Amino acid sequence: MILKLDKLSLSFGGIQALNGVSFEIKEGELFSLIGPNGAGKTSVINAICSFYKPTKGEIYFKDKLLNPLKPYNITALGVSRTFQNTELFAGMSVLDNIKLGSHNRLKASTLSGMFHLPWAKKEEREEEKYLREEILKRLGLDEVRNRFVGTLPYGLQKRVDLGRALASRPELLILDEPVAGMNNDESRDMVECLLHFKKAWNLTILLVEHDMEVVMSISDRIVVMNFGQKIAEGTPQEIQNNEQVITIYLGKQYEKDVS
Amino acid sequence: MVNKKSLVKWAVIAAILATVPLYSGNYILSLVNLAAIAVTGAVGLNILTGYTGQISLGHAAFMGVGAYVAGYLMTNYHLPFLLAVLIGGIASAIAGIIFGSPSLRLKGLYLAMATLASQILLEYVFKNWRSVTGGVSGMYIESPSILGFSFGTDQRFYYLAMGFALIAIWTASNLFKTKTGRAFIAIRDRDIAAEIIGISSFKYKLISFAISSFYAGVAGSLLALYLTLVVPESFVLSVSIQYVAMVIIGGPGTIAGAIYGAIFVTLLPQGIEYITNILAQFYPMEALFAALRDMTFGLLIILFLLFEPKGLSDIIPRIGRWFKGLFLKKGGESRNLSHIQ
Ligand SMILES: Nc1ncnc2c1ncn2[C@@H]1O[C@H](COP(=O)(O)OP(=O)(O)OP(=O)(O)O)[C@@H](O)[C@H]1O
Ligand SMILES: [Mg+2]
Repeated sequence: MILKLDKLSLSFGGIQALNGVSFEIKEGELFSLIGPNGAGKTSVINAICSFYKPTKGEIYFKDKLLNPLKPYNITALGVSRTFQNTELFAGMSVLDNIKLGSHNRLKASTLSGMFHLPWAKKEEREEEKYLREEILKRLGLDEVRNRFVGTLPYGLQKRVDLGRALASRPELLILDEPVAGMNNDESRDMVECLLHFKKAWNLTILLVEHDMEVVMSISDRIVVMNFGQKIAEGTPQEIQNNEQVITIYLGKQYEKDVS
Repeated sequence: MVNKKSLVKWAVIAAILATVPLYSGNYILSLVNLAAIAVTGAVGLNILTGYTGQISLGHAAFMGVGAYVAGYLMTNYHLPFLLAVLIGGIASAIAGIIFGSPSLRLKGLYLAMATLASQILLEYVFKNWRSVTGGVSGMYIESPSILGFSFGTDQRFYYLAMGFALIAIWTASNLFKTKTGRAFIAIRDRDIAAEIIGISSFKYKLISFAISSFYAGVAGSLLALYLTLVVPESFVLSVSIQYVAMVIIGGPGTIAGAIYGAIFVTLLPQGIEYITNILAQFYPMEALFAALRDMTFGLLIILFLLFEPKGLSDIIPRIGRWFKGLFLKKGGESRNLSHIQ
């Protein structure tokens, strides 16, 4: 068990965003979390990242309780995420954005960097080489690595966000709508990249996504949420045949696709 | 990396910088020296304000901490001045951490107020801890010398001030090629996202404050060595505001901006003084100069924030391109950024 949510509840003032949500993700799984807008999917992610503090319930990553940790401690444990609206640093280059993901892996001191000492230079150079070879080239970002991220089209920004999450070399990668707003080709490329990294890096993935074609084709297991509660859990097959899920979510998704 | 053209460019710049004292008069040279000291201080404040996005109204006070510590060590313990400057910088960085720890939990206007409080508190200490600081009449120190070679003249001090300014510029530019520098910018642009991707924003704000204060302490010590005198007046609130003006007018978040800003703000009072002297012939007013100077800085900060938020670091290249355009008659080369399939 790599991640475990135990009766997680979260409220904002009067709004009950999460209400007793429990599930477990096994190592190496591609686990999807789906549900209508406002169901609480992003809130689950924010709670795992310790950005939202649950009012009740516990979150464990490999048997370590995450609740008392600060958000910046979570990445170092081996959990990283992308954002629904990318949250990139628009004034920095693509490469620098992705290097920020490596933050906790770089060990050279501030002073050694300021004085350009050999070991600091070497570490920086090696990290850059690694990121370019393993991440930027793979994501098709190497050519644009020196451009300001704010000048890139949306599809590429989504990839930079993914690259940044990968740069911390996570064991658990959390993706908040990675193909939202992409056309079919872009979306297919993105999924291909994800599956490549999952295999090559032996990742466990928690995927939140509205694109049901993508979700149903790549997930091992799926949890469906509605109004802050878990309403179903199972394989893609089981979820597609679940009456309740079809009524409140899949049916509507289907209508949306047709119209 | 280093091509021929830039090598020639740097050689020319080095040659000019090395020979400035040979053909400059004392008055010009004294301004250059003050500007070089200001560059060191402004590069420091720019790290905190321009790159990390944290305002400080106490920069001059941290310069003061460095100046008093260095001065005290030189006069009472006869420490070599370079060592005293270094310790002055470190003392200032420690003061930065002490005052920064409570302040940096605050944001925006509240942070401004908290740093203003440290300015006022430190100013009070400078004026009233007489046994150490010499109170309002200050502390005299010897002019700096190494192995009998004295930096007591403007010509000689120039190399000291310029050397420190260049080291300040070099180390600060290196900083933004490292994880710490990137963390600063990330906190400035999106502090919450920065936390979530693994950066402790409080820790890095504090590091930024410490580094910025270190530069301030060094600049303050240099000023003390240059004037051979440490007085509270050198480190009052209006000096802090001048440093904020340097960062904003120069261009926050750029190294070049700190340099332009420091030079501009050092020279501006001279220009204003010149004008007030002319005006005074027709309309005598005693306190006109100081008031006019502070008002001009205030006005410039507002105007730049409103109309030129990127400051001189953006205006100067623009003027450069405009001149180029005049001679090339082609509107300059277009900087093609977009060639993506
Ligand atoms: N910071 C917040 N403050 C107040 N309410 C919030 C906050 N974050 C989320 N909520 C509320 O919690 C509920 C769940 O929101 P959440 O963003 O988790 O939904 P979601 O499933 O990710 O939806 P979508 O598919 O639209 O992204 C919503 O009612 C939302 O308004
Ligand atoms: Mg969401």
